[in-house]
Amino acid sequence: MSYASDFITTAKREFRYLARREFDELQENTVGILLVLPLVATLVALYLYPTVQAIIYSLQDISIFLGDSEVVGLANYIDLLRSGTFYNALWNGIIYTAGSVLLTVVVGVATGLLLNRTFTGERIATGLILVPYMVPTVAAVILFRWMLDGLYGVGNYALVVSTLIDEPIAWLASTRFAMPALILISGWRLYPFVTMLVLAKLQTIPKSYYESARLMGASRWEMFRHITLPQLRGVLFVAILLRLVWTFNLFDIIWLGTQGGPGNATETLPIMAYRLTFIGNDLGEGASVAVVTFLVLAVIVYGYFRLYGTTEEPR
Amino acid sequence: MGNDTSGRGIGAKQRAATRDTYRRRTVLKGATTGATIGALSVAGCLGGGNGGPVLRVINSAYQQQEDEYRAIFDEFEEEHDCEVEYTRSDFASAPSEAAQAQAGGNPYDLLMLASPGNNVFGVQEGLYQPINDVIEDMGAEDHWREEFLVQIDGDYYFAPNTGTVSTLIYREDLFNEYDAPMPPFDSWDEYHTAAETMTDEDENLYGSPVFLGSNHFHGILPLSLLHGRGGSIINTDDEVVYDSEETVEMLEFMRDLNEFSPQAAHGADIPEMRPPLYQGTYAMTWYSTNVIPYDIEQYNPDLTGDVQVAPIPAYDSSYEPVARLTGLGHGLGAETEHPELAKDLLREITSFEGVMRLMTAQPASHVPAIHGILEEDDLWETDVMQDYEEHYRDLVDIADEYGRVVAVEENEGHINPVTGQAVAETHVISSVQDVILEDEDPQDAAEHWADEIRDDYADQLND
Repeated sequence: MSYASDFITTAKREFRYLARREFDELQENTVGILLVLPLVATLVALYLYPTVQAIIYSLQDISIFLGDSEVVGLANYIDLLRSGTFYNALWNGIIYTAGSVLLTVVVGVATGLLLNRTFTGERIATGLILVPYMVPTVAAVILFRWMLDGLYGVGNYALVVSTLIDEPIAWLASTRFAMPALILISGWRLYPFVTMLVLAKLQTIPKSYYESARLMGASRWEMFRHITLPQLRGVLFVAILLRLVWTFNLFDIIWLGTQGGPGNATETLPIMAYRLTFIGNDLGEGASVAVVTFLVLAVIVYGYFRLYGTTEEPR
Repeated sequence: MGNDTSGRGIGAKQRAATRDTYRRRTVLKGATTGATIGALSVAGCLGGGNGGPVLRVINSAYQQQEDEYRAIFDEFEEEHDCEVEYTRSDFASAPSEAAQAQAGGNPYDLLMLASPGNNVFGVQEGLYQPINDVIEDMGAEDHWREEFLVQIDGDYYFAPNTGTVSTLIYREDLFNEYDAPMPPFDSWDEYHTAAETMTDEDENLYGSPVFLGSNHFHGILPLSLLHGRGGSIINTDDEVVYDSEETVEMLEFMRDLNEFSPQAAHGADIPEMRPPLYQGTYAMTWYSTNVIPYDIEQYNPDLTGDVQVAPIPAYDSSYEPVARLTGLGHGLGAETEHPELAKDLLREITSFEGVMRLMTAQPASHVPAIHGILEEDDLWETDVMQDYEEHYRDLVDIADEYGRVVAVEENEGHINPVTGQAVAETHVISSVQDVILEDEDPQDAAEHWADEIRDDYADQLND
C-alpha cells in the first residue's frame, strides 16, 4: 500500500515537472495565445457571433418567428434611412444622451468634491449618495412615475404647494416634459458612478499642490480650475466615454418610464429596435436599427477620441 | 340587451337537465379516461425521461387561470404517464420564445401566443399545424360558440376555451351623482355628452381617458369606434381603406374626447388604465378583460355593484357596436413529436369540464368559448359570481351580440392577414397620436397612416 502511494506521488511529481518544463520551453507568443484563448472563445461566443448574426438578420426579410426568410440586401437600411421615425429616434437619443451625461457629470463631480472634504457625518453622506446606484432600476423608475404622476404625484403636489407651477403636470405623459423627466431620472440614477470615480481620483491629488497655490495667493476657483480640473481630466474622459456608450444604448429607464411615448416623443434607437422586433415582429428591420445604432455610436466615440483623446495628465 | 343566452331565463327543469348532462359527461369522461390511460401509457413508455413523453405548453394565462392550468396539467401527467412542461409568457415575448424553441429543435407542442394577432401570424410563419380532426371530433359548432371558431385558409388551427371582450367600464354611482346619460350609449353624441357631463376638473374627475400608448392594445378603442362607424382598415378585397371618411370622423371624435381626458392618461401603461376608475378619477374607462371583482377588491372594496360594463358605442342607431373578442385558444405545434398526446391535452382544456374549471378559477372575467357553460349552476354559485352577476351577464351579452375576433376577422367572415398581425392596430393608435399630440389634421393623418399600412404590407395587399 505504502509502495503504491509512493509510486503515485512520484508519478505526479514527475508529471508536474515535465509539464512545467514543456510550458517553460514554449515560445512566449504561444504561451500568450494559450492564456488568452478561453477569453477569446468566450468573446467570440457572446459578442462576435451575436453581432455577426444581427448583421445577417439585418440583410433579410425575416420575422421574429424565424420562419422563411428572404435576403433583401440593404433594403431594410434604405427603408430605415427614408423613415422619419428613424431620424426622430436618432435625435431623441442624442438629446437624451447629451442631457443625461451632462447631468451625471456635473452632479457627480459636485458630490465628489463635497465628499472629498472632511465633515461630520461624512460616511453617512457617502452611503446616501450611493443609494441611487444601489436601487434596482425598475424600483427607481416606478418611484419616479408615482412622484411625477399628473393625477396623484407627490412631486406635483410639492411643486404646486411651493407655487413653482400653477397646476399638476403629467411629466411623463407630455410631449414637452417627458424627455427632460427621463433625463432627470437617468441623472439621479447614474451620477454616483461619476462620483465614485472622481472621489477616488481626488484623494490621490497631492495636498502640496494646493498648499503651494495657496502660498502663491490662488483663490478657490483658481485652484479648482488649474489644479483639480486638470487632475480629473483623465478620469472624466473615461467616465464620459462610458456614460456616452451606456446611455446611448440605454433601454430600461426609457422603456419603464415612457415606453418611448407619448407618441414617439422619447423613442430612441434601442427602443425603436425593440419595438420593431418584438411588437412589430420584424426581426430584419429591428436588427438593421441595432446595427445602425452600433455604427452611430462608433462614429460618436471616434469623434470623442479625436477631440479629447489625450489622456496624459499635466505634471 | 337583446337575446338572452346567458341562462337567466332558463327554467328549473332545463337547468336540471343541463346539470344531469354535465354529471353524465363527467362520468363518461372518467370512463373514457380510464380506457385511454392504458393505451396512452404504452405509447408514453416510448417517449422521453421519467417513463413518459414530455409535452411542452406555452400560453399567456392570467394568474388565476395559470394556477388552474397547472392543476389540469398535473392531473393530465398522472393520467397519461407523461410530463407537461408549462411556460407562461407575455405578449411581447411569447412569439420569440415559441419561434426560438422551434428553431432550436425543442418545439412547443401546444401554443397560445398571447393575442389573436400573434397566433394568426404564428400560423403564417409555420408554428402551427391544422387541428381539423380535433375540432370535428368535439362537435365543431355544436361544442364551440360560432364567434370563437376561426378558420384560416379553410383549416382550423385553434381550439378556444375562454376569451375576453372589450367593453366600456363605468361608475354607475358617479353617473347618478352627475345626472349624466347612462351607458349603454346609443351614439357617439351621447357618449360625448356623458364624457362632458362627467368631467369636473375641480374634483379631479374626467369623463373619458384617452390612452395614447403605442402598444397595439391601445388601438382597441379607436379601432372599435371605426368599426362602429362602418369603417375598416382593409376591405374584403384586401385593399387598404383606412383613408376613408369614417376614419376621419373617428379621429375627430377621439380628438373631441381628449377634452375630457387628463393628460396623465396619454402615457398610461396597460395596467394603469383601470385603477383611476376605482379611485374616482375616471368616470369611464375601457379594457379588454373584465377583472372588475379583482380590481374592486384591490383598489376600492366599497364599490361592489357600482361598476358596470357597456359596449363601446356605435356611431348612431343605424350602426352596430363592435366588441373585440380575444380567445383563439391553443393550437398544435407544427413540429410536435407527440401530436396525439398533445391533441388529448387540447381536448382536455377545451372540454366542458376543463372550461368550467378555468371559468370558476377566475370568476366573472372571461367569456366561455363553448356552449352550455353559462347554463351551469356551478358557474353562478361562487361568491364572486353572486356579487357580480348583473354585470357579468351584461358582459356575456355584449360578447354574444357584438363580439368579433377583430384582429383576425376585421371584416365579418374574412380572415385578414394584415390585421391578423395586430400591427395594424398600432398604425391606428399612431394616427390618433398624431392628431392629438402633433395636432395633425385628421384627414392628413388618415391618409398618411393608410399609406404607411400600404407600405408595410405591400406584399400582402391587392392595392
